[in-house]
Amino acid sequence: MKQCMLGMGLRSAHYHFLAQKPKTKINWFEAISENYIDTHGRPRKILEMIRKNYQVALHGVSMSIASASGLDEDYLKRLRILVDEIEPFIVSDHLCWTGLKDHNIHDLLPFPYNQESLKIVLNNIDKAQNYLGRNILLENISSYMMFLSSEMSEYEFMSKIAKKSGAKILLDINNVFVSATNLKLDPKKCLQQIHPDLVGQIHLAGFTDKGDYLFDTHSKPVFPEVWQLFSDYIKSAPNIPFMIEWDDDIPEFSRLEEEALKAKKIWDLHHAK
Amino acid sequence: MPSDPKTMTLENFQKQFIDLFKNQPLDDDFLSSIKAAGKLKNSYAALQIYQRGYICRLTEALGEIYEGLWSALGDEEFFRCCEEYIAVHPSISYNLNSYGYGFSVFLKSSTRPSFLSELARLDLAFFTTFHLPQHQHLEPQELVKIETNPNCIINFGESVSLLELKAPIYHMWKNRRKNRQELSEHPGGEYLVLYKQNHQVFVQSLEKQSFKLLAALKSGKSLDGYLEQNQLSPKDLSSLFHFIASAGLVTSLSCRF
Repeated sequence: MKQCMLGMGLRSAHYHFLAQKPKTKINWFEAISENYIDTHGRPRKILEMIRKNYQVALHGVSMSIASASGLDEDYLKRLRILVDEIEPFIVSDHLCWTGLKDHNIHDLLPFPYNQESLKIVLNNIDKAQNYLGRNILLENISSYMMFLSSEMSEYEFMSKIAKKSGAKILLDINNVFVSATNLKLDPKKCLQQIHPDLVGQIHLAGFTDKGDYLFDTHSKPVFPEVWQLFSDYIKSAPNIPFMIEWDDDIPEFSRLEEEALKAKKIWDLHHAK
Repeated sequence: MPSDPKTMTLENFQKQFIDLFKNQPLDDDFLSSIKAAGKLKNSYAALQIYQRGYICRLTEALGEIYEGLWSALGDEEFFRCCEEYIAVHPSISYNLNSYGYGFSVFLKSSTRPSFLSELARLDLAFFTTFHLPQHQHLEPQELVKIETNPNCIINFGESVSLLELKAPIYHMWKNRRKNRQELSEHPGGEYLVLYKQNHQVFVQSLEKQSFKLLAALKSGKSLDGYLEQNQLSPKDLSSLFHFIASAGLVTSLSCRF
């Protein structure tokens, strides 16, 4: 049975609106884990309230799964507490590293895709999944560089990771487009390397054209090229939950919902009877 | 020692990458192991995307906490302060929300007016209170029992914090979302209570004597124990307890009957 799972990123700009418990056309919300891990203030209350009425996915930015110096146990411990409390249907982070123990960059940093990295990432995933008592999803990041020491493409690397660890891919189609354009690759061919069975969630967002490169800003509507890639991909993957991310210059809820409904319309074109 | 990019370990790669943010010179071999994307001139230009993002993110984190300070200093001077702080204080936590807790100490050690560090202390106290849980407060009729049992210990809610300031900046801070005001140093101190009620943060200014009593009660001293050694007029005492009750600061009483 085909099921449309339309989601949206939960952002503080919409707390006031959502606190009034309005009817929405959204099936689930994705919350940034770090915004709720260390707070018992209003953000946590809003998340608990949302959880009573919606499915929630927890999406992290700090696991640093590709860190050669291992994972931060304190982070995993706190994330586990949040996971146990919220009972999300998805727990995810990014396929990247975010810094070293004495210098956190708080960014999604790239690394070479080779056998050594594969081993380190698999080891870290195993530790994270054991700690959290569940499988996680990992998102492809936007790239502004590539490395001579890479031995395989990002998508080969991600597929290997997913097959060997059980950690499915959170496929950010905007990031695929941004990276492919920056690295002069064909985004359609990149997507073809990712089997839908390995994908557990899809992100859609907007980027900014900086002239010299495309920048993943999540501050604009989804671009037509990205809608087309989504349409192509979702055709053969009807049951993957998908959502819109918007992090900067956030519009009011109704505008964001409108953007999300464009994704639903595409899904309906392929799958609604 | 130069390293071959083909054989560079991930650990070494990550250490060299971080050197960028420490403003240390980057290894030529490391730079040549990176191919810039798009129309970016070279690998250093590609790395600078992350370098710029780092400064922006940490500045944004400081701006989240230090709203009063930002308002007092204005954009240009606040960003200059942030840049100076970020240059010497890397983030060591996974959580960006916990970055910048040393900002007031940093300001104090700088040549800037000393009241700015007090403003930063108040900003930080407000921010941390916001993220603390809302406690269940004791009903006022229960609190009245303290009148007949002044040897009881009063237990305060987790979100109640006391802040003794060395400069009178509360008025300036309270107006932080209004027009920017003239910066000037004034003598004297200020005594504030920060607390949560109905999930909102409130700040209350107290007289020194009332503040000292509240601090003593909060540290576990009983009312009669405090009043044996200190004085407070009945009017001030009544006024303080009226505030304690109406603000819902107390969670329970521990009494020996």
